[in-house]
Amino acid sequence: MKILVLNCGSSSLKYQLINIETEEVLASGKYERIGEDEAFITHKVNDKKIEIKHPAKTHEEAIDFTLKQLVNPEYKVIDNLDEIEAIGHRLVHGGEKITQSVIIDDKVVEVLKEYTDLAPLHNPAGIIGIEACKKVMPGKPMVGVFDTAFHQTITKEKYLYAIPYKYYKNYGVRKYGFHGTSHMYVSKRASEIENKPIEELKIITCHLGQGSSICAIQGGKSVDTSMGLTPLGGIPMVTRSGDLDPSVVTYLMKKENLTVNQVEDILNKQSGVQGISGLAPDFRIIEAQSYETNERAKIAMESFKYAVASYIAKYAVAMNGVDIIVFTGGVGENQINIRKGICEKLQFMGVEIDEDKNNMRGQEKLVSKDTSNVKIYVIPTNEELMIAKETERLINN
Amino acid sequence: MENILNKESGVYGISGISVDFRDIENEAIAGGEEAILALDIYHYIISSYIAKCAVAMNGIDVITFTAGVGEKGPISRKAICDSLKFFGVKLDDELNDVKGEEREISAKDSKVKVWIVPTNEELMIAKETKEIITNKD
Repeated sequence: MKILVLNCGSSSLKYQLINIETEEVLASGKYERIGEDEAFITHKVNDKKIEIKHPAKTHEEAIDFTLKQLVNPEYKVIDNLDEIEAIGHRLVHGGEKITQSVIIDDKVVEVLKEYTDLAPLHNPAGIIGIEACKKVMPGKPMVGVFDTAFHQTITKEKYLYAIPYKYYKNYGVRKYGFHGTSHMYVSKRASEIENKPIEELKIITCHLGQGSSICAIQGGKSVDTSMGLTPLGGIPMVTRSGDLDPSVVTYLMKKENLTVNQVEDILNKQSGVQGISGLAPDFRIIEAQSYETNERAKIAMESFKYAVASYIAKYAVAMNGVDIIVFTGGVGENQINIRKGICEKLQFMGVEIDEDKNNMRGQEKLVSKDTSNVKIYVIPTNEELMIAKETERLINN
Repeated sequence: MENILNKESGVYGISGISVDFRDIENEAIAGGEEAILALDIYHYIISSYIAKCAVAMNGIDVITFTAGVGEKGPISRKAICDSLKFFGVKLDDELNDVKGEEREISAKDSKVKVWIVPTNEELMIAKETKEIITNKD
């Protein structure tokens, strides 16, 4: 079965055409600057990268042109669009209404609208992608895989904030959690590699990338996660602050006469390891500088590692133990010393990383010592494959 | 915003019962769902911070409970300690059945010692004052 996975942004769209049986990516790419004359697509097929400037005023036009690449006689991967059996949409905020992957219908679009307040960029983009597909590929089955769905198994004492209850009742203010598809994928992969039923495992997954979140997974279900109402919560990220004493917000607003939008911008775009170090918003640059004499870069990296280790310990307590820690995401898969630094802080828990095994990037690998109480894995994430699998699962039923 | 977060939140905000822990605890004992929920949240967050402190120090030797709830809330102490089985924390239920006494309350085979130590900020201030005054010369 061939499944097209789409991830729509407000002015972009990413896609992969996946052969589900072989898990092979037949073609992939990104269409950028949709809505401008400068719009262009970067299409990857057969190890080739083809960049085409093609104005696309709407996502509909962009998807239409994208599909043309898939059947382009020069580098086609399918003969006609009927070979695409279904479309899997990456969607973000499903609130409390979406608890698993869903066949897309009007109700799902209503949910996306309902939670637009909490995901003002991502949910509308998701709707645009769905509507565009309906026009370009009418009748093609579509499945929605939500970032938040995996975490809907978290129980009330873990998702409520200690603020007046009415804010939960009236506005749905609570922890939702994100990166659900990634946490689900790497935890399933870990159980497959270990050849143990996921029902018997306590796994802590660390998706560390531009956005970062930690997830406690017991019996295959999310038990707690670090992001909250929005992806701003949890550990410090590249430009996001993560958790804060809430009085920091009100204090700064008074001190600098800031508006709500200004504070949101500071916390989302100017904070995190970039905010502490003052360097470029790139973990690799900040890590490299931390080995030189840059004190602030050192502190930024220490702060990040400490936060990740703290969440791992917190979730080990919550699950009364941990069998496997997984590192994934750009930083988790590629930054060797950060993995090492985090694990070293967990030695008291019997976590022992093997420096030689850990000395690699981007591979699925066990990197703990044989004597470690906890297994440590690096597992590159693959949200698109997870979305394709979920799409296949729902279509087959 | 500051007023809501400082004066209307916490276990009071969740439960809507009272700003006094004792009232909330009594409601929880009587089976009140909101009270149970509020205390579950409170205990979970405290356990999380104990876990974080263990990371910061690379281990824990002693957990000390102090201040109003710490000194006089055996139910809360028990709930928190019971959630720390992963660190080998074991409470002695009989020793824990006390309010306001300086006392070790962990079981003999607990990997971490647990104490109640009633706080005394005034005495600490006095001691600090003496130390600084005597060292001044």
